[in-house]
Amino acid sequence: MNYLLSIITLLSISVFAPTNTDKPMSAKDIMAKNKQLTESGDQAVNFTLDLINKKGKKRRQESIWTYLTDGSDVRYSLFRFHAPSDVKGTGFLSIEYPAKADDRWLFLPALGRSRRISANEKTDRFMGSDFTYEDLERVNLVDYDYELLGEETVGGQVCYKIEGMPNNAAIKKVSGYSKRVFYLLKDQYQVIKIDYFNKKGELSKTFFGKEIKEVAGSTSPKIHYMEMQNLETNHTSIIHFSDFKIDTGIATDAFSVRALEKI
Amino acid sequence: MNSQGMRKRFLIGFGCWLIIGSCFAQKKEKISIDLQGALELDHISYFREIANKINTRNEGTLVVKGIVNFDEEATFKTVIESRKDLQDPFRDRLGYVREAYFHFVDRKMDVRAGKQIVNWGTADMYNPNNNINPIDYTDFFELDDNQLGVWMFSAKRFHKDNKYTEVLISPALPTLAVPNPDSRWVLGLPREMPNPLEVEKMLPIVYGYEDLQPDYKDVGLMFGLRNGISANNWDISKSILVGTNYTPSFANSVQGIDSSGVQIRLRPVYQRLYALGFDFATTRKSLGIRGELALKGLSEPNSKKGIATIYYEYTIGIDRTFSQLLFDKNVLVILQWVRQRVLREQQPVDNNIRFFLQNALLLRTEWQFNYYSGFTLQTLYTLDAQNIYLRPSLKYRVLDGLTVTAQADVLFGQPNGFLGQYLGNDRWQVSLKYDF
Repeated sequence: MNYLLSIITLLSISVFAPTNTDKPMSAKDIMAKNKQLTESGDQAVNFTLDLINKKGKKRRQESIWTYLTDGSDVRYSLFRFHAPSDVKGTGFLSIEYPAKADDRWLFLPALGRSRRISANEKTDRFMGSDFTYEDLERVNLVDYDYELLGEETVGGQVCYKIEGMPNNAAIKKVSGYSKRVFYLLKDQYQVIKIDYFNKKGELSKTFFGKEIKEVAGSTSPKIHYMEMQNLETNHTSIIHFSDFKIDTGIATDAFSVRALEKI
Repeated sequence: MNSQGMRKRFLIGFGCWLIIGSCFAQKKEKISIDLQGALELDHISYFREIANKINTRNEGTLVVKGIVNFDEEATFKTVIESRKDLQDPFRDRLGYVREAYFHFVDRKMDVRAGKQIVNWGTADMYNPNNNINPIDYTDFFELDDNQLGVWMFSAKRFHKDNKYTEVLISPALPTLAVPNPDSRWVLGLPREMPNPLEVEKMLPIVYGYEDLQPDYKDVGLMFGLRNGISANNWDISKSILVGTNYTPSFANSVQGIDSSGVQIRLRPVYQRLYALGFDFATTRKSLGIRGELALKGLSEPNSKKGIATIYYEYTIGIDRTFSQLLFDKNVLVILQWVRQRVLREQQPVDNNIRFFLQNALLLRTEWQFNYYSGFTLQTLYTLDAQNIYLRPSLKYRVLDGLTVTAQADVLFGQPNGFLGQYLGNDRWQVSLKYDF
């Protein structure tokens, strides 16, 4: 369950200039640059999720999210919920392997033990939010064709506008989208906006990344505010990140059932 | 050594352990305290009243959980419960310590000392291998938070390759939590008997319990050992447990008789439990698959000697989660099959609480409509006795932390087997719970 890592990976890019200024970068090069610059080791961060319905009613979930990617590209992720009070202590651990089925456990304090759980569908909503697991998973660039549509100004900042479409039947089958359009800051390679188009080709959701700030211990600035507007339901989800702890040397032991069950 | 002496020594030793642990932990001077809990108000009414039985419940429960983190290596956790039932004093508890233990963490080992609840097994609804803690049997259908803590020392050692070894030992002798003799769940007790001096006259009978505290001559130390591994998408463990059988069983003893009536005391029957267990959990795409197998033996009643009962239980279950995992629109379906086979038993099996499942299907469906409301249906069908139990439950989150629940317990089918005795015990319940 390292979808969040992936989107942050995608979105949080350090300020690097293109390596070759003589030759314009292709869309795939830009996306690859984005991915390359944002790979990191371990991270722990306070995670607040606000869900706002079409009447403007807001509810909030608070958790601490810890993740790690090891040398063999295994990704570890642990969520520990702190609010609301009736889910306090709930934990969610996932270990995502490159070439075999993921391990996932859920710890419910009332149950008193961890429960191995099955994988989610890509199109399932993440914790009741407008983010799906697909929105948050790491992107394998070879599964998509990217086309540079030009440049466009978003919020007063000049961005690359890149269209990404799945290029194989397997991805097309499981994906909830026909295409995505990314807006990356031209000078930073930060993704600050994504338009999601549903299977009918209609614009269904729009993502905004804001509050791009430097973080101690990180070579790249981090997005602290992520907003997903669901145009089909008029529902909005906002993720706030705070108190980043980057590359502090978290070991894989911190992502075990033992750690999940720790009181 | 008598049980009181043994108990006293254990408690003194345990107190020393806590003090030493506390001093050790305080050296680190990074103490944080977390308090949480819940306040719950419950009302239950039975659809059909029975004379001389408790036909309603109005109950308040306050649970306070305290967690003291001394540092990364030492934690103290306690759960204290106070419960008041206006109709049934057997359910009253004031300042009852459900759990209170120190948890010490080493690089490769977890050690817990104190009153704790330890859950073994992987199955979702019925766990043949979960025999460590007594169950609160004051209400047979009260399924939530019904495990009672046991004073024990437990340690879990973590090895390479996600293997672990768990050991526990307990010299404590927890008492059974039994229903009021006037409860709807206590059946077959005649309310009057002929007066031996005047046969034509009847004497009323008043029931009570003898001392529920077990004795070391009847039971003894509990100890258990469990080995497990998590690998290749499987969780597997095997276990051995020598402990106490906590399913309630009683013998009658006449306490006194006079012209006003007869006092009969119910004497608890304690038996030693020997259990060998195996369990697993795995996932295949979107399905969860879990199973358990347990071979069990019970000693002669109120004696550590002999094996009076031998039986085995196994269960296999599959579950499927639709949509997402937590908090919002979600459907979870769990189907479990339970089989109990009795190889040796001196008592009748069919009406025995211990074998009430025998050959049964359990189905649990959780349907979370949205963040605020959800519906759960629990179903039990005993294939041989043909009893059907349904528990529909509707939950609504009024505010964050404040939940109102309406549910019912309904039994129908044939008047056979253990559950068949309780046809007519249908009831409805409303509860209001505030988590803080």
